[in-house]
Amino acid sequence: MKRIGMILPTVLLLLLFVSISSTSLISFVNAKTRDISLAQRKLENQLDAGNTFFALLGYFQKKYSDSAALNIAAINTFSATDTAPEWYNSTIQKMSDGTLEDTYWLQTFDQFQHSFYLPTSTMTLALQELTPGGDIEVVVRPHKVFPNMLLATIRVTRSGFAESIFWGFISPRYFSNWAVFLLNGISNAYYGPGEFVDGPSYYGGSGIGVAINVPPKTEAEKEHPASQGIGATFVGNMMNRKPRIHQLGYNGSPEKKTLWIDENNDGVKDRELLSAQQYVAWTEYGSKYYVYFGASSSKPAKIIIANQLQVDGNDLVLSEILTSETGETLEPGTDALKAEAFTKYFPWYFRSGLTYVTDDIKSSMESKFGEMKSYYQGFIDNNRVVSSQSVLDSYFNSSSIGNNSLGVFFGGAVPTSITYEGKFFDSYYYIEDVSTGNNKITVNAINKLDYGSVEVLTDVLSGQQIFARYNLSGFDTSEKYSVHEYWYIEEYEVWEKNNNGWSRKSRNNSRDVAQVVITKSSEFDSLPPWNAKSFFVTKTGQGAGSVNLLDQDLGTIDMQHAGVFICENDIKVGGGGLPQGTGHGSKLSLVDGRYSFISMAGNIKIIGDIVYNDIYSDIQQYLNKELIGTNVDLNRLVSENNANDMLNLVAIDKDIYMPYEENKNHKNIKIMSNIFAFGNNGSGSFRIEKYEDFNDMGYRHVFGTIVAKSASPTYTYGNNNKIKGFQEFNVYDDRLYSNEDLPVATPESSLLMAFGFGAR
Amino acid sequence: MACDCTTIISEVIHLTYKVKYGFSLAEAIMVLAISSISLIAIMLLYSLSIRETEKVRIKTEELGVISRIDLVLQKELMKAGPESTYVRPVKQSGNVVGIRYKVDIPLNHHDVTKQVYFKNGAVFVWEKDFSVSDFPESEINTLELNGSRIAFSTQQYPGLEISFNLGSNEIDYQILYGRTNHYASVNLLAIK
Repeated sequence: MKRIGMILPTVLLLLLFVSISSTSLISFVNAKTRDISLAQRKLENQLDAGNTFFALLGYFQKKYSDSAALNIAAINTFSATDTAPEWYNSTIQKMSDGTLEDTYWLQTFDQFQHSFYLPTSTMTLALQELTPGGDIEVVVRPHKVFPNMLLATIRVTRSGFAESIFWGFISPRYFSNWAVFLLNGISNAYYGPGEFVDGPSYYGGSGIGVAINVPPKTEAEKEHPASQGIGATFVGNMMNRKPRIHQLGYNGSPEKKTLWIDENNDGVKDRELLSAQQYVAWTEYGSKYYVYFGASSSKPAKIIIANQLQVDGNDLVLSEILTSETGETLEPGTDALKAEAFTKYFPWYFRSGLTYVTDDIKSSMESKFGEMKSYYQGFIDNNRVVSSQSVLDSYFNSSSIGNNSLGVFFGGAVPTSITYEGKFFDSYYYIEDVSTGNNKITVNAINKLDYGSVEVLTDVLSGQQIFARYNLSGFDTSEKYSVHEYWYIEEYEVWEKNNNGWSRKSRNNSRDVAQVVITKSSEFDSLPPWNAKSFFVTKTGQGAGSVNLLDQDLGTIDMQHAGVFICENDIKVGGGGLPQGTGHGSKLSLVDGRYSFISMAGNIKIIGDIVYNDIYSDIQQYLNKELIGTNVDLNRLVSENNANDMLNLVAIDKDIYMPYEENKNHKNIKIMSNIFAFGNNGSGSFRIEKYEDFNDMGYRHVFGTIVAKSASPTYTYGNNNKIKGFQEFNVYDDRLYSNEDLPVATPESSLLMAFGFGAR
Repeated sequence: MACDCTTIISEVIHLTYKVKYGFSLAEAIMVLAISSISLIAIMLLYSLSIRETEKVRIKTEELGVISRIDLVLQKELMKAGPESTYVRPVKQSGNVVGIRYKVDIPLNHHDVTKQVYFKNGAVFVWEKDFSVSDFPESEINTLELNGSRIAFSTQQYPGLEISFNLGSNEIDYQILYGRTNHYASVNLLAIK
């Protein structure tokens, strides 16, 4: 008799079910785990790529400190190739059909050379140490115009997992990367409530103090750092040698309450912390509460930060306390600790943190200021700028001045010897204004080009207006041109030749002569060098007046420049347009293009307004008016007009200032320029001459950066509390954050900077 | 001739016992009992294992979602800058549900306004050409802007919650998905 067992098949079936469901579950978990692993590895790769970038930054900083230049070609741990690695090309390829952001990145990448610097095997091994288990590849490309600006791209892969790519730019940190840079700081002044610095700032030497008013304010007011009565606020990172709180004020009437802690967040007061404290509580986007309390008449006392806060009658109940329960001091012992504390305890006021200026940074910045003279002298000594005298020579000889010049140098003119009509003129520069008649020849013999003070007139003219001013054709009537006149003095003697030979008729004469440089506005849409035409004129009247060509027959000479104009001595700039242009009637200099005006041994005197042409039409109605309280946002205008004008004013040995006489009737002056007053022997300030003698002049508006050794007051109070001088309203040009539209020869600091990060 | 020992032993055994195939009742009951106990034990262990595995499955799924979002937030937000004024919270009903930020493309007149935000269980990133007016002085509470274009989005994860906290030079964020709560922060490298 045969018996059929059901147990075994049942068990087998169950086991089969269990196996299948377990397998599928385990497979699912396994797949998800791989998924997590992949995401985590990708994140890890991304972090490693970022870390490698910053390791490279540190490495290049060392090289930069050693050699004062960031020349990738001279760094022997990198070698150049003309062919990019396949992964690099593939990344670029993937970006080409990508997002709006990718499209713009590719435009920027195009500005970099097609030389690809790869790390040597030793360097790769060193970098590999940073990424255990990962493979690193690096490509570095220098910029076409600013070769010490590098684009570094890093790829990290781990076997079996997707790659991560990180890129960023490394360049010397230009002094223009600070909105305010005061080498020596300010010992006897401080920033007060209502003020704010709208970009990165540096205060060495004596550092600077701040008086802070803590809100409460309405939510809407808190959103905007310019909200009157709070602050002082620093939008960019502040570097401060001696950070200090001048005063911590409360905006409103602080109450006294007893501080309690709710330990388990159940709404019950568990423990009393401090009794009857005058306090102010402030919340950052409704998440953390900052409770400042126990201030004496002039000094802040302590702070407690908590995640939750409730007011209960005369009690203030805190829970989830993130600091010490008894509070932490706002000004700990050392300056370095103060910097940390300010960043942590006043995040709204130091929006990008506060960095302590170490001894190393302080001394390297001071050295860099001292090196500026030799840095710019290098432009002259290495013939990177052509002398105006050479241009004059070429002009008279109708010869070319070459195409590798960055600009013009007004100085160093050396008289030469000339033989004319049989007469040997020793120490004379050239012969001109020859007139004949009555059996005699009368000549002006130029014996000195005096570059003691160069006055720069800038404006924008059409081809037609150029013809009207210079009687020169050949300029397109429908085009706009950036026109610069660099006025200096010629000293000359008048000689006459008659039947008795040569005789000197007069001496110690002088007249104004200008080198004119005309550049088509559209040239500035691309990177330098820019094509221009140059020639020389003399004045026929007072001021900008009428001009005569130095020689009508010679026409113009072709030249290229990159906007660098260096003067041996003083420069007068601003308030001086041309009669046929826009600026003359308005005491306004229009700047069209990107220029650096550098005075080697003199002052730079600013007279009247300097305005960027690309935003002129929007700001025209505000000339002589203050901008504070209006809805004029200069950075918005720059952005909306796609402006690419920028000016650097650089005084190496002396100051940059506004002379009293020339400015005493010019209210609410607008200076669109980056100011660099490096100075020597006690100089190096950006100042207003006799500011206390001015009546109420409104504001001095600076749009750009202010870099100087020291700052001086710009106004004071006279009788009846009337303001004497100019109040300040400075706006940092946002383009300077990332070196956009930077003029050539912008001064570099001792630090490197990294910016423009991207990842894939 | 050699002896075949195996055959002999087999015959001896055959002679000694009479073998019947199948189970007796006692055997069946014993087998049934043991099998039942084993089966119950297996089923208990199995259900325990299923429960635990399910927990792991849910946790890994949550972690997977969080990791993917973490990666997006890290990669996106680190680009914000360089002006801290152009990194702003986006609020809805008092909660910060997104960050609007400027991505500065250096040496280029084109910058991009981006916003990473959380909506209906998904994370979105939109982009548009930068304009100062994208960052009004008043509180930002619009999730989408005219002219913006979605550059990236995740799939919807019902129950996903994300909140942000804008600090000094960093953005803290919290991702809550299921029972997993993930806190992280991204250092704003590009802020100057």
